[in-house]
Amino acid sequence: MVKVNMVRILIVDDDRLLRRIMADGLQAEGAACLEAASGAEALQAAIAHRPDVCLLDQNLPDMDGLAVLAAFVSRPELAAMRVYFLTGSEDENLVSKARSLGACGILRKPCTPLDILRRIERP
Amino acid sequence: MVQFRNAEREIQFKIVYYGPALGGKTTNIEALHEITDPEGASSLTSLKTSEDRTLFFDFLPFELGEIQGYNIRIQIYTVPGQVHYNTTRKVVLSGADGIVFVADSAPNRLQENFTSFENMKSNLLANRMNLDHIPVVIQCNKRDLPGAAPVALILAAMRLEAKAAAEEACALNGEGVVRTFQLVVQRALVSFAQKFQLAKKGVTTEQLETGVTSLFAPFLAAKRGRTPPGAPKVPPLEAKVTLAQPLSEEEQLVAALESSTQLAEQYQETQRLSRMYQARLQEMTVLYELGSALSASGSPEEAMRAVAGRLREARPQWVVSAFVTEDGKPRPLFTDPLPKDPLWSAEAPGIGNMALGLLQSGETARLDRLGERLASVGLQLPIPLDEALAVTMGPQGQSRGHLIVYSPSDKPFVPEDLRFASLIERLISPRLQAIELMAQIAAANERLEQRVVERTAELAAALEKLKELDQLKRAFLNSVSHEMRTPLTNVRSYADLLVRHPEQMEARGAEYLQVILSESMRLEALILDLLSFSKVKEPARGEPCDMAAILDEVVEALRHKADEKYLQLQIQKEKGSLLVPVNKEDAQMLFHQILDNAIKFSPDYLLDDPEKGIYAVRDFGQGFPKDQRELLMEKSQEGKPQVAFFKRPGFGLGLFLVREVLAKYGGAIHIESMEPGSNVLVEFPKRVISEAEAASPA
Repeated sequence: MVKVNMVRILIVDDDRLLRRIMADGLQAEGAACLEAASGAEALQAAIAHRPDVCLLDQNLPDMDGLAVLAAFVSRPELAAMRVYFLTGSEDENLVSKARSLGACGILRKPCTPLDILRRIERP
Repeated sequence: MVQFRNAEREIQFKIVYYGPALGGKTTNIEALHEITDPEGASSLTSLKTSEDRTLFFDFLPFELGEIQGYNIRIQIYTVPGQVHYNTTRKVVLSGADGIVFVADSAPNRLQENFTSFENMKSNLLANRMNLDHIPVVIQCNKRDLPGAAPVALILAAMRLEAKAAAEEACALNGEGVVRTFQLVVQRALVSFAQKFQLAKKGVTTEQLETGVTSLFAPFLAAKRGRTPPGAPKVPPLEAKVTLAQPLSEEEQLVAALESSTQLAEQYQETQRLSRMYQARLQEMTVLYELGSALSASGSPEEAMRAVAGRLREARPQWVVSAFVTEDGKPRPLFTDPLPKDPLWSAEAPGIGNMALGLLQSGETARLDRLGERLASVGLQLPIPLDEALAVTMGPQGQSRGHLIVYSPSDKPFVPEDLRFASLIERLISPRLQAIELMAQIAAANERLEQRVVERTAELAAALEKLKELDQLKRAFLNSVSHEMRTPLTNVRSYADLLVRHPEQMEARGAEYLQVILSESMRLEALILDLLSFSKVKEPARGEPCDMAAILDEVVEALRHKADEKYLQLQIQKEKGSLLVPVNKEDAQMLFHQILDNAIKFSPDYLLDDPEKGIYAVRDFGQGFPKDQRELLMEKSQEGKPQVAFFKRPGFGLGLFLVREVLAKYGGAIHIESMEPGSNVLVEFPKRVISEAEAASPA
């Protein structure tokens, strides 16, 4: 059941369980989801499918979230994609670094898929 | 009569000017005073009546100079010419060593000359003195008078022999005055020399006469500015006596005698005091300069040099030796002007002991017959020295040094010198103490500064430690928060999904509830981990605990987790058991955490290998990120690897627990990067380390 105007979201996290839960929740609310377990996968998926939004974890096995963000920013074709960090970290440095690199915001855990949709629909 | 004053090293002569009243005796003395002492350094004492007649006598002290180390002083007296003062004349004449008879050249005074001369002779006799044994110089004064009687006539009128000689003078303008005086002094000295047989001591009359001539030479040609009588240029110290009512002859005599005696005594006293004060003044000047030099000196040695220098300036004849006290023993510093101290000789220890004895005898100590003593041990001094005086520097019993002052044989110490030395002692002691105190203050300051530097460093280190602890706390909280937020997010997300979309319950409800259940368990495990922290804080009991057994237990407990990932756990032991004093709970937790982490990050299988107190966990996972491994292995100042912490969240609380356990026992962890994975080595000390020791790796 695909809606015409559904938001397409790329979930980047090495935690398979978290990806599954997020995808289930977001899809139940009407969003379309893509998943990536590493930075490299994320870049590949973003370029291939041009999602509207990317939910990015800071801790990835191959590179950290900021590096992935930097890679996104360096690609002009990804300029329309809104990137949000999804993290449980309290690190204030991450917030300012992510902002300065062009992230739209930080989504702090605990947050449900519904919380996430509310944030990204009102950017 | 010649007076010896041994203490002052002085010979005193008495010269009396005799002659008829108004003959010019006082004028002679005034002229002499004015010519020889224009500055008025000595004072002319003149006692006159209101009619300008000499009432008692004039008195002028006269410093001649030195002969054979003796100062020659001459006291000049006049006698009153008036007939009724004869008692005074008699008294004044007594003890005279030379007489100047001033005859009046006025033709109408010839008789008075004769009467006065006869009067002098009888007064001499009354004093048991013989004219033949006293040098007398006859001066014919007032030669400038118009119609002055010829000298021969004057002498003849005085019934003197034809061969008698006389000096011609005009006392009013000073002519002949000095020459007359010079003659009488020469004759008095020659007479003295003959009487005491000075020729035997190598002093000839010619020497004496030449000496006197040279002393007077500058004044012989001098003339006196013509000063009207009664108005002298320099007003003499005058005592005008007005006789209110005529005194009887008897009263006058008594008064005259008393006054003259008193006056002479007072004068002598004044002279003595004046000399003494002059000497004191000189001494004070030296001491003042010494004080200034001392206050500029910064070390005992400098102070001693200053003192020695001033001493030599004040007493050039002295030899000054300085010793500084080191470890209670004197060490020679310098000897001025000799190359070394005459008593201090390494070759002749006996002499050295003499100096030592002198130095150790306390306050100002004196050693006499030095030449004799030294000769007895066969030592010759480069300068003939006869006495030594030790001056102690610093308070008694804790002297900082000594000065030894040597006096030459021909100038032995006088009481003044001893007083001077003790004054110097008193002056230098406080300065030496001040120097020492200042040195102590400087040292204390230095120590204080050192302490400040040390304490600052300590505080900086403590601050660094606090910052580190703060950072650790933040990292811990961050990690805890992260660890709890993720399962919470998962639980809430599925719970929320089921609430909002109950239609999915049937299809996927069981799956979602399973996740909610397992995530709650994850949260519970996390809470248990947090509780473990408080257990780690329990003190070490020091009971030995078998590491091998604990590893077996831990591996068994985790085997199901490894099985889930198809991992194989192996234990290789070199010994059946390995006893280490570690609380069992702590050891269990430590290995549990390391193994759990290894399983979590290992896609493959795991190897565990304890050997000789070192326990290794080998995983074949992605390995530790390099920066975090370095953090974990952060070196302490002593170079011993110390457990740091993970800044990066996601590794769970496990490594914090590992850190806590190892810190508690002073253990260490080593992480070797392997390809693939990493080798984790844990090290425990085999003895119990106190908590304090464990807290500070030193």
